[in-house]
Amino acid sequence: MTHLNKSGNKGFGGTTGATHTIYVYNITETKQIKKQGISSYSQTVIPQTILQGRQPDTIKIEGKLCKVSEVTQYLNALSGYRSVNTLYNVFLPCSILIGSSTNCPEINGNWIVDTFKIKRNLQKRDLVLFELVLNKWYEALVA
Amino acid sequence: MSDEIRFRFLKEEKGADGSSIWSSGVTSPPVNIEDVSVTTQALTQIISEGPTPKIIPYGVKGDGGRVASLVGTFSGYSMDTSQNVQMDEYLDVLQDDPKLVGYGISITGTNAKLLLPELGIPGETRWRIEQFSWDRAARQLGQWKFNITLGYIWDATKNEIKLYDDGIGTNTKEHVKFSAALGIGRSNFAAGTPIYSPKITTTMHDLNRATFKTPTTIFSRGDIIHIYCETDKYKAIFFGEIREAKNNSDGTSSYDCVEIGTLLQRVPCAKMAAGLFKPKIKIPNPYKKGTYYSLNAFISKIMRIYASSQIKEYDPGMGVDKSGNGNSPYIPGSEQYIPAQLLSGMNVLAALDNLVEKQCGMHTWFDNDTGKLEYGYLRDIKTINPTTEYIVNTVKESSLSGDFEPDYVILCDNNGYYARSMEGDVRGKSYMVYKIDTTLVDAQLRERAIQIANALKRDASTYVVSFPAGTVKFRDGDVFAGLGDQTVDPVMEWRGGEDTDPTSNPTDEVWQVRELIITDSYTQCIVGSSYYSILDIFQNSLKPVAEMPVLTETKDVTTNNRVVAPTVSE
Repeated sequence: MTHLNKSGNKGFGGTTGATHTIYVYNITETKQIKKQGISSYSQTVIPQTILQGRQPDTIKIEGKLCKVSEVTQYLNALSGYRSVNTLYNVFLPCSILIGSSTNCPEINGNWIVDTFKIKRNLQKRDLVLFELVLNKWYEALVA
Repeated sequence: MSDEIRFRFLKEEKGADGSSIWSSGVTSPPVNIEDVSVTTQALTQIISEGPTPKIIPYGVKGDGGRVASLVGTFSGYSMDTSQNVQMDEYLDVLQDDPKLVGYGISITGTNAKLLLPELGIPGETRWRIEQFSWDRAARQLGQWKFNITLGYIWDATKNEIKLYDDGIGTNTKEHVKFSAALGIGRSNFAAGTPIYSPKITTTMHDLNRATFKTPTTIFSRGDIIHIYCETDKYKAIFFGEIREAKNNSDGTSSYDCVEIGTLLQRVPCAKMAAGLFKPKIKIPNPYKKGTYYSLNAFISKIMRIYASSQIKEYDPGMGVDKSGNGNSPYIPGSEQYIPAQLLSGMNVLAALDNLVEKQCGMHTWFDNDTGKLEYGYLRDIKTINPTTEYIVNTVKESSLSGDFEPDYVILCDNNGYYARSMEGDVRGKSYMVYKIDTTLVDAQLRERAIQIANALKRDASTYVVSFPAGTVKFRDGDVFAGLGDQTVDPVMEWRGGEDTDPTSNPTDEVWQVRELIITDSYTQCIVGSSYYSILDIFQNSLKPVAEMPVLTETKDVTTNNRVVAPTVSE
């Protein structure tokens, strides 16, 4: 149902948010199809796979968010966009990210955030690392 | 003071209204964090069929949506047994007090925010302890090492995951509260007792049902209750009697309820008089030569039987006509008079349904506040407020209109006479046979056959439309002033306006609520067309049959032979 051209939960209002520059250590992109298989139960029946469609492209980025000592400075850039300005809210799930990069061209395009994880461990105490799982966003952004 | 991180333990208690109250407890000794991670997850629906997959984002996941995981040690606590007792106080999360539900932590300590920024704002951000395990390895210096899984406690006052424009309904709650008030009179949400896990199922074809639970036994079997939702505090969403009250092993009570109209099933349509032969209860029609009762006159007569022996002070009234046909003596949509009603052996509700549903093809409803009887095709028109009552999801149900659309229809009546909806050469065309349980003249048979063929060609799709929690203003039988969903494929067509003549004209059809399920986390409507085709009007007397009855005729044939006495000769 559309009302004033907005579809409620299934559409985005198109408000632009913050810009992040992130340091990527590892980036993997997965493209997957969805298929259904019919097994062969006899010598004369050929097994088949029927293509049903494709899963959304998934990209997983791992990298460094910032140093622990620079967290306050890092979060300052987001203070206008986040009512709870903390590290775990740097990327909000279900928000749309528009990626652009010259050395990571896989990221170019529109993505929707599926999972965002921040982590820090004993071996690298001073770095806040992150993992970001994004699904490709195929629809247009409503202005 | 040196920089350090400590945990402040919080205790969760359940308040009287079901909300959680957190109170501060002890503060732990300083901790060393070895490993920390916080994962936040989205809730989406992915449809991966067709050339382009589609992602429907719902927001952040509720249960397990944000989870933190910590591994660390408590500073300075080792195998020194004189200190073990104190550690138990922090680490033992199982308590005897039944009011306490669990423990939480919040970060505290000098400059804790700089040392552990991952867990939010010290003193403000709270995490619920989902799992806490600890061990001590004697060989590795005997440090108390813990592994803790935390679930984020979302602060309802902060709009921290706000992604959409205002006014598109994302401020609606995920869970809403319900309460049940005892008594036959009207009440409201505040006067009722809080209930949980409610599920109210309403359908046009049967009495509404409700199930819910309470933490302790409050109601008993036979109690009359109204159920209210916090989003509409003065309009009940269910009015009925508790049919069954069960005590569960965990101390809670479960209740099964039936709509208030069930009380009409307890009064028979009979005069209990002395004597061997009980009088037949019949409403004759015509009651005087040439004078016929109207539909609402019939209904009042049936309801008067209940009114003279009310149960539990329930007064449904004489019936409110929502069809516009109440004053007519004809079966709606036809030229036949309503037949005389034989009521012996039936209870009042059965007699009512027999007349209104089976013979006239309408529906009966009971008002949720007063319990007053209403009857008709369409109930009230409801307008959707798109900021709070937006469609969460739409799914097309499989069409119930039949296996295929025949090219023509053959209709037979009780005498075996039949008519076709299409004249001329029917070679190569598919057909279906219907039988109507009455006798009609040829012209009427043919007209009906054409109506049936047209009704079968219509698209009678139904859709399951989900609304967010707390959408309780729709009732079974209500129609939407405007509803459609362009975001699904195939598109659910937009139908707006008012259906002024549901039995004769399908072009102004609107969406009508056929069934409705209300729970504390969603509202789901099954909507179908408001147009009453001939198949709906004559639903019980019109049936598809597999084979036509063979027309037989008897004919007397006279031969002119005479039988004479035989002669016998030897």
